[in-house]
Amino acid sequence: MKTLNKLSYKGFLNKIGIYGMDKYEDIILIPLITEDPIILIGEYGTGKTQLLNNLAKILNLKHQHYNASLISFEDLIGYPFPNKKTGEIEFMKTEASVWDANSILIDEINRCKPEIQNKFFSLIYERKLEGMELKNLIYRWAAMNPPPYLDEDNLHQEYEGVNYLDKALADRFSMFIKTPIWTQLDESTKNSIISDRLEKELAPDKDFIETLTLLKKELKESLGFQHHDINKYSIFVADSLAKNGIDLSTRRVKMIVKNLITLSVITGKKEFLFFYDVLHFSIPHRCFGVRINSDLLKAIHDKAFTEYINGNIDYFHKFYFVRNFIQKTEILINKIKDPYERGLLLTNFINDDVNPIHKKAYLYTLFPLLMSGRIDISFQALELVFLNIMDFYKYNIEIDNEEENDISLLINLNNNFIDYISSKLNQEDNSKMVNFIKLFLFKIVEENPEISKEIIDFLINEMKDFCKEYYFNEKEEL
Amino acid sequence: MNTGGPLSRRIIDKMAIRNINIDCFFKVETIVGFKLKDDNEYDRLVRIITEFCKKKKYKTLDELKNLIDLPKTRLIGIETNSKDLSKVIRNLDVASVEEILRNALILSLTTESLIYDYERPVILNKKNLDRSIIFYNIGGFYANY
Repeated sequence: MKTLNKLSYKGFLNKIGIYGMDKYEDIILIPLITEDPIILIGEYGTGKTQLLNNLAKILNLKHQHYNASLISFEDLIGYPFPNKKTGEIEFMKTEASVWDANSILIDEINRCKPEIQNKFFSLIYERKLEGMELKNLIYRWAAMNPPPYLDEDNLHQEYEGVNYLDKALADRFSMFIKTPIWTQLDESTKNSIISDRLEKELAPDKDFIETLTLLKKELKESLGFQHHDINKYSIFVADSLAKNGIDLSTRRVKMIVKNLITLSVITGKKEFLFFYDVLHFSIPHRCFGVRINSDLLKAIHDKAFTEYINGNIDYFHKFYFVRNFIQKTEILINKIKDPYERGLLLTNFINDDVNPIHKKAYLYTLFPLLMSGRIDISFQALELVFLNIMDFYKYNIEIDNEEENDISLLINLNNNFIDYISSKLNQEDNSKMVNFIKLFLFKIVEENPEISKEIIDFLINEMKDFCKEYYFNEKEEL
Repeated sequence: MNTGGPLSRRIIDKMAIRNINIDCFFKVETIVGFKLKDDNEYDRLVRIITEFCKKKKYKTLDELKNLIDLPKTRLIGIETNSKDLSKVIRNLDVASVEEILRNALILSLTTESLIYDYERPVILNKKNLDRSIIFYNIGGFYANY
């Protein structure tokens, strides 16, 4: 009997010419195993269509690719004609009709007319068309550009003709996977993409097909058991989101459970970060323009996972995951005990593509704790941290010594931001803390004049809370 | 936006930034340095220290750490060109051995990125010694509040 080699699918995205989504490889595998419909959401030119069309090739599927903005219903069903023997209406199969397809991709699904969107309901959810079952159809995939958020100024809509997806239709899809844009890719990925110039002739990948078959079998067995931890996790998440005004349908909660069970089958374990990614990709609200606050979702996931999942919390990754400065530091102090491991964590954090402004703000605020030895880390890591933020620590001294810098500072700073930062901070009665934070913010504004007020607010709150917790509340011992 | 003139507001902000400055924000722990006239002087400086160690029968330079009262906390330094820093040694003939040793040790325990750490090994070379540095106690940021 063949046994499943869990790693035999690793690298399948690169094989089909998709780069920059490697960390989601396990997640993209989920709908291939559950056979549930998915939508890829991404900006134009991010490889959505290529990903799905090429997947069909390596899976040896008879694949139909439709563009929803151009499609007429007749394209899907073929030409109707009366069967003289039975007297019933049948449909003449054409090259483009859906009857024999194993997989379909409905591209630009949010650009078609509402009446066509309605026709997709039964096709996507029940694999039926005009009441007739499509026995060969396994995979139903769709792709779309992101519609504007409802809380944004719609006059500046980026895509012409992009509509919100009907909520009921969106709820038929099990996952909504986002594809990254160019600026989110690292240098080696960009290089791989532009080097991959040849259109590959993709042949069916027997090993990959076999792996999927085995994983499907394993999932079927696994679905036969109760997964109390995943159930409780999902109930907690759904209830918490509802309390914050984000309602999930009963069907959606069941889909989240199924996706998480499938993830556990694929990876063979329950991992903190993967659970979040699956949760994040299982929520449909982006399709109809509702913004989900990622901090809120992360906080809910964090609580649910810690409370209910007897799984593996990888604190190295959790450190990157939480944005709250105090929570990050608690991990550094309480969960990672060895100074060299702490140093390694901070070194990785510095080299990781975390938001550079958040990263600098955190390291800047943390630095006095590292220097005093209240958090012991290796010297090499301390030096690396310092190199990353030394400009901020040397900033005030330089401007004092050299008149020229002093003047350039005054010219470059955006006065509106000076006012804003000052108005936010000047109510605090701790002048030392205020100046410590101001120094950082003035320099970061100087370096990033386009910085948003949301980021400034986030930094002010996090830095203030951190300073109060560790520097100014007489909490001497950690 | 213009009430009072944007310039006046800028001056206020400028003062606010200056408030952060040096000793009232991060405490200046010490100032050390050498500004000797040429390479021969630096060779002489190294000779003074190594001969001192020989006389004391020290096997490593690290043993000097026990002799001199050095800061035990980590410090960050800012290199300075300021000429009026009295603690910077310009002439070996007029400085005491203790002063020379203290300055040399602190500089030898300070990395290129200007972090001083008592636990580091003493590395005596011209590149390390030919610096004038103001050291700040960043770790003491909260302590004297």
